[in-house]
Amino acid sequence: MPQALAVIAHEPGASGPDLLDRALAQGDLREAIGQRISTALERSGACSAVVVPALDAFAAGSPTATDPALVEHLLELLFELGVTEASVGSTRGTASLWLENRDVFMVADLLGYRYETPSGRPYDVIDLSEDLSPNVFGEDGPLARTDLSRAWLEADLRLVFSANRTDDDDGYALCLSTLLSVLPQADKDYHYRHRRDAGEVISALLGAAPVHFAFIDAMVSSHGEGAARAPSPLLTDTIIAASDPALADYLGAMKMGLDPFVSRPAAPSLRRARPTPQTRILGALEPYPGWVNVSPALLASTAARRASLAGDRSIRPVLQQVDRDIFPFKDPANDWLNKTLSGLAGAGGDGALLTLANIWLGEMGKAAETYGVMIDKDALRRREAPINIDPAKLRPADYNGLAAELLGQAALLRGVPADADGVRWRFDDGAILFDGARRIAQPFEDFTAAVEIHRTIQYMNDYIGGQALATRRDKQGRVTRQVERNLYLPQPNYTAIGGGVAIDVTKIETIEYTPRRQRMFWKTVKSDNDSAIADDGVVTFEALGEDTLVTIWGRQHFRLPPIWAAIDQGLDPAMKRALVSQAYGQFFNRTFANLEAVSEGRDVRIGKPWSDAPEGEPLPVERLSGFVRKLQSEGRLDIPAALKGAVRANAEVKPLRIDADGFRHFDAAAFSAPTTTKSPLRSAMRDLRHAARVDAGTAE
Amino acid sequence: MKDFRCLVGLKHPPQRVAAGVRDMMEQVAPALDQVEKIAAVTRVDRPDGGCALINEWRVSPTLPATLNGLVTPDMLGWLDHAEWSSDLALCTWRIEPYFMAQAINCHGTTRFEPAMGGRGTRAVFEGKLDIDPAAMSTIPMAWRSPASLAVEMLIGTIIPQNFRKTVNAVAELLETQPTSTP
Repeated sequence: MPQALAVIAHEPGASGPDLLDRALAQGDLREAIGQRISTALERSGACSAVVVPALDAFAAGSPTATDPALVEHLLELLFELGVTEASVGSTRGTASLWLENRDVFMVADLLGYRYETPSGRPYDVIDLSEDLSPNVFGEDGPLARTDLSRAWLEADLRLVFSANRTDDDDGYALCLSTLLSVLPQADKDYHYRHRRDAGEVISALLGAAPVHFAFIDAMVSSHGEGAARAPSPLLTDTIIAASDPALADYLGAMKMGLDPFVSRPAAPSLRRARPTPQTRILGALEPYPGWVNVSPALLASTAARRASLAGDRSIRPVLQQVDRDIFPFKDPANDWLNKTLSGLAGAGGDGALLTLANIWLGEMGKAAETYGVMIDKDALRRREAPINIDPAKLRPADYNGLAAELLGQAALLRGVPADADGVRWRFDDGAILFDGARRIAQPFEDFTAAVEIHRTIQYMNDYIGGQALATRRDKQGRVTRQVERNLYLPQPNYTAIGGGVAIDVTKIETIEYTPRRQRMFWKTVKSDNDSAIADDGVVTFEALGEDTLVTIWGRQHFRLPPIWAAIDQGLDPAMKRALVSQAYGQFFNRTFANLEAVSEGRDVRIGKPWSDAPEGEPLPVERLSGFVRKLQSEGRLDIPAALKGAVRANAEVKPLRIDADGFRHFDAAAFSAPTTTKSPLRSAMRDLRHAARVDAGTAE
Repeated sequence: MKDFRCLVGLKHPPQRVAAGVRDMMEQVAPALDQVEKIAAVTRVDRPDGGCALINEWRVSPTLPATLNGLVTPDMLGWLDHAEWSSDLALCTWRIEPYFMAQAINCHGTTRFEPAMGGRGTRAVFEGKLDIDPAAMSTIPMAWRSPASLAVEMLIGTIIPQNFRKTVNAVAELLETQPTSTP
């Protein structure tokens, strides 16, 4: 099928299977599917198909899941067309961390999958996190060094069948979001939304294993402010079928009356699949009658909440409406919080309370981030940022001209006196040209063996993450050309208070090696978040007697957030010079210290790494429960004793006697004994204070 | 009277799981937190293929210091009286605790239903716990509130969670054994 095709089949009162048949018949999709099956059969005598439906529902019959009867009808059709092996595939999702019975097989069973088609043909339900094909995505990109299900990768037909639902994270969740359930890690939110950019992840997944056909079950949809948290069903009597999941989502979002690009996970794939004059779209595009979307305020506040990893992971189990009979909570604390609070953010509410809670959590996250940038850099999370340019599109000339261009600019510092920190700098068209040098007491050979020059930028002050990809090596295997993306903490750090963002720069680099000197040149070609106009530089390692001289030259032009830009405009020139001197003095001192540390084999990276465990990190509520259990097991938090004390404190104490004037006389000892509630709490607080001091390095 | 219910899904056919729960408890005990041992006391095979079984459970939970002396090790256990149907689809049980046995009435059923197209099991554990209010009057006033809370927690979370752990442990044990019909 050479051209993209999508069909929107709609008829009030029609059955789902009828509409699915009609959608497939209308636009030659059935023939296209048949063609793929025939090709596979001719090639190998067999044809396998894997259908990935939406299984992220929390009650049987929920409109946030694809109707199992429709999926089974599609499987029936696939068998009729010649498929020899058909499966329903998925993986455990984030909810498996806090709910029981969330493995793929049980969820499928509880949501109504019968493991056989209406005519009795058996199909499998497979867990796509099992039997993985290693390193499918290579060494770079958002899914670098990630494995992928062999069954999905090798299927002759890959299909996705989404439910039709609003979503308070992304506006809507259709086929592209559903595809996240192909990926192996259980905590999807942690690994594919917080740690990585969901849009880039889905785009990379489609690049490695394209989906051949996509469907949206919009027979009974889930609309409204409650989104998947508190589903509100709406009869929409529609099936959307398409040759591309992005096209299906494009139309699905339009039918909701949304800008399709509102969805962060969908946007990058949608840009690649924009309808063209050759795209055939059959069916009406007018929005569903009575459809209600998530309000922009709730969408924006949910995005703000994601700034707090702990806050976001804590609140999701609390908000989700769940059929506890089939999916009980694992942790009693979550169970209790959910019972108490999920109704407040339910479908019937206007979402205002949740919006406020989201904003509060988001602000807490921002405050913690600012604190980390300025005071406790190791508390920050390292950033995972894949290369975001296509190295294959770079021409040799892009690399070849680098050295001459940058050395020419470096010469502009000739004659500039060094400041107290030994740094020379000057303004140049809003940018700052600067250089500095340090003699390091290590022989050149030893130093360069320990500090690979092509990794120098990763050792610079305030580097918080990124990715590098060697594009050429010399005969000795040394990197001579490289593409690199770097993220640094906001510069200067204090701008974090006024909305400063990480400096995000993508560079092309060349490296020269001679027996007595190594030199790397870099030039910024992209700043994904517009945080930098320029961040170019040269680093040189050269032999100087028994030592090594390290020289760094740079040209930097970072955008300031509006409040700091306004302050910057009004700064006294002398004050501005002092601030620049201080900032670059600090940069050089710390960067050189880092290089010395690396040469001595010490780790200089700031921030804490992400967990590679499928379940991510323990949920905040688990940490709290674990802490309480530990105290209990050590006998330091005796809940019965505390309760007993509380009861005793509230109990009516009998007077020893009542005198003639009616005054009651009590035994003083009954009141003077300390209550047992205070002791364990004091003990817990003492432990927390001690733990904080150990973390801060002021205690052991 | 308090009701409790727990549903556990397993990737083994119902008869295998049920046979495991009936016959492998002794082997499963080490995998369970705070369970010292589970031992069969009596077993009577019925002519129709059913079975009456009494297992003794001995547990060793970490008790708060305040309970020292009040609860002694010999109180930490119970007898599990179970009546299995011949097709292993249903087990009717009753718990006879060593502590406040006259005051505590705990009984229920466990059903083993086919799931996942016959390839799996839905084990449904349902029961009732009744504590004679008269028994509470023997507890000191200050202890009644925490005791009630403990009972609530026991019913709401601990009993279902222990059942889940038990059948999951049986399933893990089954993974290591060749498939056979009980």
